[in-house]
Amino acid sequence: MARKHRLPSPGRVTAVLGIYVLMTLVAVSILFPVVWMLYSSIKSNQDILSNVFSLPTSIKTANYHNLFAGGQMPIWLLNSAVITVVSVAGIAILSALAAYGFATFSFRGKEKLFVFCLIGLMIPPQALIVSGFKWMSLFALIGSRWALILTYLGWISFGVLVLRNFFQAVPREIIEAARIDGAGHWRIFSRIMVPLARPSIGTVVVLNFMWVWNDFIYPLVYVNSADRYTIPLGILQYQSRLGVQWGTQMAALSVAAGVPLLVYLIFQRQFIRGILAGSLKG
Amino acid sequence: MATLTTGAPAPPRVAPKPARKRRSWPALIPFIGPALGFYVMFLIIPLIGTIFLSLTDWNGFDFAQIHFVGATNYTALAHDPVFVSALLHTLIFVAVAMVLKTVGSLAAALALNERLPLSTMFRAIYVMPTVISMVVIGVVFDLALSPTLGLLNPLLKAIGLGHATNGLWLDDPHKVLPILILVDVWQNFGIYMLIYISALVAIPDELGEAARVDGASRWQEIRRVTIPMLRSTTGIVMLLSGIDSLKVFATVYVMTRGGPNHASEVLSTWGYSQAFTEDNVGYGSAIMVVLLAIAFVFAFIWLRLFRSKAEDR
Repeated sequence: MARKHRLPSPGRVTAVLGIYVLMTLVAVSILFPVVWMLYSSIKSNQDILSNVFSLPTSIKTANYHNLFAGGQMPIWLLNSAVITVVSVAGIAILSALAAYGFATFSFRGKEKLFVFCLIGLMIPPQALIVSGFKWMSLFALIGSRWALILTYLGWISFGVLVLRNFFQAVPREIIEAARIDGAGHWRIFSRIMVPLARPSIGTVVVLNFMWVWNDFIYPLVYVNSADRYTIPLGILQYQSRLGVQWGTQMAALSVAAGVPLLVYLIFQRQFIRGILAGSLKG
Repeated sequence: MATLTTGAPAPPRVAPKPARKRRSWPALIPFIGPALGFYVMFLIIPLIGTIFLSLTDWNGFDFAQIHFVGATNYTALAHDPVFVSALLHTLIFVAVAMVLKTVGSLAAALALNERLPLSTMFRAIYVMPTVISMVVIGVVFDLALSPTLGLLNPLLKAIGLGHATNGLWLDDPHKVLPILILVDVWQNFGIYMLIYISALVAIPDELGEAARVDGASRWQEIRRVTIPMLRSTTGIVMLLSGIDSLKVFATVYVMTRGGPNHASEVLSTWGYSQAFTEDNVGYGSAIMVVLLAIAFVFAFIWLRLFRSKAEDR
């Protein structure tokens, strides 16, 4: 919608000012807690307790030292990293394969099976933890990273939806040409479709990264020792409304928020595309 | 779907169909088999398991002690005042958060669509909270709202509003649910704003131009042309934001654990404490099934939309 209002009327000037004031207020309400968390993490506990607002006068690394040298933050980061990398890579591979199957084969009950695969998008994960916990304990997996990884590998719905839509849009001519050259399904999938789908796979990876990295309910239930905690569970160890370890807590929160924020800032395009693809508008 | 395609190389119409089908199954299974396997094992089976466990009376320790009790857990739900209020809180949470997220994201998208300077920056900021873990958000707000050490009370005092409140936030049973709803809206409206922005870009400019020729103001144009054009997007946004709110757990668990005195109890937190704290696995599962039932109502509507959307193509 191109703007045609060349000469701004007084009414429009007031409206624009009003919009700016509102947009800025909302932006401040978002940025302030985040910035407050970041700068509090380099203040000493006493400084925070004497004035929660004041900016740090000097950079104190004691909180981070507590986390990394004195605490278990390195183990939690490692747990989160291993679980997230393995799960997200698995989700990407599984859903790309399945999406290719749905996009190129025709078989009876295909649409029904596809819809069945989308149920996962609708289910609140916390509704499954009770029986999921018992199911995992049948395999003696409670307490192991595998309980989490296997659970996340069931989260294929989003990837199947996004990648099937992409594969379906690939012009038939490209595939037919490869087929005439004697390429089979595996060759077409790995040499043509996957390279073409790289941006869409990126979208699937970025969104699933956020979901798996930030997941809280499954680690809460499936993990039973502090050395197996993931980041969201680990940071809760410092939660205390009495402010006993306030500085360390702020540092833990900053680390936990920093990773997905960094991924978002770098892969904003993929993230936005993923949101749109998930809303059936992609 | 208009784009149903076959794997076989452009078969002539006369090709015998059964022969092609028989050939496609062995090739198909390696593609969809692995994903379906994990999906069924770790999502569908726990889903069915939840429904099964909800029909049993089980303390959760010994598999031999599972007793089938039929609908007993469900009749017990009706007599559990905490469940009733948890159900009510969930429905209120979903309905209010859905409306606020839809209105808020529409307003933000319309404002950013004016292409004023700094719009891209505002857009990036508004999406930021959605990528941060709900646990982090929960702990930060828990601290900020703490009556003794928090941020909000000194802030209100500084601008002269200190006497307008009793200084209690998450500990006040009347304020706790509205605060949790606001946190959810604050964290997630950015996602829906993105969906609205992409829909706004797709609206042809001729319509607005026609309105402008007729002398409509910008605001009239938005109200009479733009918002009606966004009707189907609004449907999708309401649905997705409703489903999103139904998934609330971490924020409530971290900020209040359902308290004070169950004032912020929702279905997922109550089911969680019944199953894991009280060892009432069957009863906790029944609470989760109620949550699933609400989710399936949303899923059903979503599928209808999805189908009609697919037919449009």
